[in-house]
Amino acid sequence: MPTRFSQLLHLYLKGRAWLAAAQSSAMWNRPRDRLRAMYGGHSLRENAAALRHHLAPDKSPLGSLYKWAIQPLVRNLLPALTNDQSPLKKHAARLALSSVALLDRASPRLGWAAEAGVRAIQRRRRLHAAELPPAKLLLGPLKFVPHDTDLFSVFNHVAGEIYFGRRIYPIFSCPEARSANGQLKQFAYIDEACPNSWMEFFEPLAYASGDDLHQDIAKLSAMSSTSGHLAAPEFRHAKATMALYNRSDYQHWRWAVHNAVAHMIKPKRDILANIDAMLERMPGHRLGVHVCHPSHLFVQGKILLQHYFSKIDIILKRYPDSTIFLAADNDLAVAAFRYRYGSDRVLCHPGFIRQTVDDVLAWSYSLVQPKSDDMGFVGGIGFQTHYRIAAAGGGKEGIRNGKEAVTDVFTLAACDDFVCTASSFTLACAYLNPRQVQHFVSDGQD
Amino acid sequence: MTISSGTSHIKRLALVRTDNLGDFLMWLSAAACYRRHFHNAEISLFASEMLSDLAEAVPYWDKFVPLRLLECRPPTLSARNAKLSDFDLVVNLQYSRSLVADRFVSRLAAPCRSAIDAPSPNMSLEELASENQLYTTLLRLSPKPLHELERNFEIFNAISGAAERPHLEALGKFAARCSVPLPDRFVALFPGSSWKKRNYPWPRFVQLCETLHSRFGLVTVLCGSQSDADISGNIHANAPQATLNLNGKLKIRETFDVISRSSLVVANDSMAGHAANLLGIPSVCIIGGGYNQVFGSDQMPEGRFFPYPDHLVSPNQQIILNYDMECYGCSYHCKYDILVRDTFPCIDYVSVGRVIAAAEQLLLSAA
Repeated sequence: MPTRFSQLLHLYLKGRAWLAAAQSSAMWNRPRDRLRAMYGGHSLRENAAALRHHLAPDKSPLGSLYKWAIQPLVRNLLPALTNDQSPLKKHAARLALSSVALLDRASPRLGWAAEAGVRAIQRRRRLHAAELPPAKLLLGPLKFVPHDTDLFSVFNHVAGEIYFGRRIYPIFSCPEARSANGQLKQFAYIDEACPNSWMEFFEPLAYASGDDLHQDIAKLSAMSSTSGHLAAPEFRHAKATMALYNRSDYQHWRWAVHNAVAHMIKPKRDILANIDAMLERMPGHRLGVHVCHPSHLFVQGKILLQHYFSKIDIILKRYPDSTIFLAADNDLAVAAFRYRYGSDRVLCHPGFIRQTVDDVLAWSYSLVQPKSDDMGFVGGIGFQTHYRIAAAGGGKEGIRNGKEAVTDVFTLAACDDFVCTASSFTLACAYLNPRQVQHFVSDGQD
Repeated sequence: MTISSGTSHIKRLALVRTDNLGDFLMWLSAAACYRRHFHNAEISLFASEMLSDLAEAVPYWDKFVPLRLLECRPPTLSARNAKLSDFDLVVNLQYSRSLVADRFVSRLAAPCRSAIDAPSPNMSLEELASENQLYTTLLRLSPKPLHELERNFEIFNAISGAAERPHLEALGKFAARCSVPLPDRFVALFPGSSWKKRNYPWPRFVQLCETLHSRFGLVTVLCGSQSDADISGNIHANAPQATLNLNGKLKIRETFDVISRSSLVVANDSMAGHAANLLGIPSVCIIGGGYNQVFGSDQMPEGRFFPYPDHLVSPNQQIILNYDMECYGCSYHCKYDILVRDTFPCIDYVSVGRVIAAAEQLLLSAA
């Protein structure tokens, strides 16, 4: 018994030390842990409650030992047992189990109880980690009403719900969008004169031959609605998407979603004609580049043009015959790329809405006023193009902006290599063309 | 390595299994061997209480003691007076040992306690070495990967010194007539498993049910335990014409009857895939990579549970669907666990088109 007690004490103290190290380490600040905080959904208190039933106080001397050593140990290591996958915490969890095993030698009653508690927690972890489907969850048909964000974020929500297995029909109309979101600040792609502007951008969705439900606005309007909340987190949340880009199964994911979704969503013919015309001008290796307005930094980080150039230079060394297709929402980027690589090599769709160099300068001057926030808004106003058009009520400019976005994304998706940042365009291209090689530019690091 | 003192003196034998129904079904043919070999002994089986319906109908042991798996304790005994009868030999039959089962075995009074000495995903090597001290005899088995059914016979042979060859148990004799009227021709679908993230996404099963209904006129009978009720409820709610929901309404032995009368079984890596093989019914089984490795250019998986060796089950009888990933063999300690919401990637990436094609292939070949 003394030996076991000292072993137990040793393990306990070691476990506490590991736990302290794990808690204080930078791993808590990594996106994965923030992600877990977003979706993990279970608290220390909840886990402690699960244990309480099994770990009843014991009046024997061993009970005191348990109270003094095992109870705080298990309680303190609960996060390790329930949530974390890091090696440090796995080690801590193993120590906890070893302690329980040792205690069992001293007192089977306590050992059983303690391990039953640990097992209960492990089981709970599995159950909680999977979101159980609510009963009577209808897969469709449903109308899909956009939420207030940019077009390709909405597009990714649509793709996510189709991948989940839902039968949805997007309806982009002023009444539907405004009744769901109130005053629109980002979703600019609706027009009072257009009953469903999805049809301005894409062909109607059809889930079987003869399925023409998407074209029946009256029927659609009467249906139950969704805004994409059943799409997996990687389609919906920037942090989950970032985590996806870093997953080693990212390529598998791209193919799986492509096979389920890509054949469903086709751009309109006039848009396809524009895309084909651009691709004809790119006979050799096609290199796509997407440059966002710098106020997109809240998602993509502080990207400099130099970061793009260094990636592109490497690709151009490998494929000297490459043509660069640049999708940019501002003339500053277009000018900089053409200055570096030449007007013949850098192609853009002509006549698209882009911010002028002065617009970009005006935004940067505004930042020195004490009214800017971490979204790049100045005085509550967003500076990306779609924010401005949405604030003006969408309309014809909004439809035009949407068509241009679709043209840009599907042109980018047709490229062999894509130099990109974290954005909804990148995610869409990921599953529209899983053969494409994506080169991420972020904060100057790979 | 066999029991050193021989087995002829054994009058009271305790067999302990703390795994789930599928593992239990694979063990039944070996269980019959224990009965034959220890014909003079009183055999007590300690196993999950969820097996009660089946275990009480099987004649290979004299006494069945149901365990609560989570606590590994007979539900009829309080923890305080849990001292159990004396045995001559206690065998922990788990190939993948766990602390819980070891702890339970240590409570059974016996001069000889035996277990398998093999690394387990449930414990570290240090823990294994520590837990081995609870046993008097450790069985060292072939390190070669074997199907679980073959492994069960290897364990039996190691304990008894016999040389039994692996074979399938005829499960039909343990089936009980299903109390619910069934269609003449139907597909049996088991959409759940013991772990939610090992379930194939249920919306794709809806697509399968609707396709089989429209192309073959087949109704799909939904089966499973109470814990799968939400999944089956959702499938039925979305394909009411194509499905009959019997989830949670059948006992285990009635489920065997449903399987034996079905044209096809579709299941995850769960009990139903094993039962279909033991009943000789064609089946499609969607598996992940937890217990499998992929070998050869045809990318066919070889695993501990599925597929069955060709000499036991014809590849034409059961189609295994998998998606090869580099992390196969993880014992479902999935590195994507906290990153995915619903289903492990190796299962999620199996396309519904493949499932439908496999089901159609088996249905057409049976016709």
